[in-house]
Amino acid sequence: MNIKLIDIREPILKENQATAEQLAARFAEARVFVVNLMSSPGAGKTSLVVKTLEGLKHRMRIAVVEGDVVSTVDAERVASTGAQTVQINTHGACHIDAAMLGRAVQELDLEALDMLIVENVGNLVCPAEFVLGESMRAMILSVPEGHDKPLKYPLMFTETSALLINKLDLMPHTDFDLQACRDAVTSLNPDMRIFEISCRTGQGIDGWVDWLEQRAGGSQ
Amino acid sequence: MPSMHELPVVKALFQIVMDHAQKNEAKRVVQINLRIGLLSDLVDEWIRRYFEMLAENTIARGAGIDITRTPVVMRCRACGCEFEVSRDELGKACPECKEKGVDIVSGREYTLESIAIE
Repeated sequence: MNIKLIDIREPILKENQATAEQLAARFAEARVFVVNLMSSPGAGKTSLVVKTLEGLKHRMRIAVVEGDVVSTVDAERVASTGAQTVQINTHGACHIDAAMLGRAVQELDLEALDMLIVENVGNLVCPAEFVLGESMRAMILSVPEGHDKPLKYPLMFTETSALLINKLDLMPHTDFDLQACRDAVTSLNPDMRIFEISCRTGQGIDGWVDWLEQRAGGSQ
Repeated sequence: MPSMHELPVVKALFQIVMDHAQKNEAKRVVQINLRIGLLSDLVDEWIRRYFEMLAENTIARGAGIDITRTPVVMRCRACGCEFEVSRDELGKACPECKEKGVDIVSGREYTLESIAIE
């Protein structure tokens, strides 16, 4: 039997891309600013979401989509702030994809929102590959993870607008080199806005919250 | 160490391969040619293993997978020149004008180039 070569040249993630573009159009129509929040497990995503909600809940209408591999622990913490929270269980997948977000968003009244925060699954590899139709990507790097992460996971840092360096209160106990981290990040992405924060002590949170509000307002 | 990150990408790949195989009335998929950017953190070995797993009991069973890793190319925002970098020198300044600040031109693609069928 003959062997035939079929020329294809298709992006493997084209379906996710197409779904993300549809979502982006819906978000734009409803004037909702969507933040895709990413980090390693344990870097402080849920703590940051809670702090951000506390800071902005009287200024904006915000809902949260919580991505988790199986549990609902994070969603419960976020819901305790009073914000509307939709849980996505990815059933083992290590990121949220556009189709999952699309299903979660059906449970929300987008017209009644100003901002949607998507807490992605804790992981530095896949979330960078799967666009969600978000307005902005933010990522958290926590001090105990080390300052060399930007060069190990470059994709996470190249298309992200804001980096939050969290757990700054632990600095005295580590060898984390803040300047080296800043240099590595800005060499990959000179436009990255860097915030030094501690969700535990509240340090730097106001600056982040004000900036985020401005970004969200500017897009509408 | 087992890696789970490749599975969703390989599932999407498998679907596209099977769609094209069906459209072309293939009896068997012999070979799959991929281009993956060097910036991708996905591991070739796990892409192959997951594909094998998904292709079991299908016409793509036993298909060879060729992965060409495409280089990382940056474009300098200051002077517009394009230059190739390795993964270890991603933050490198522009070799022409020495400015920092670049856009990624290529190096993060996942493309199914072609398949060979019987």
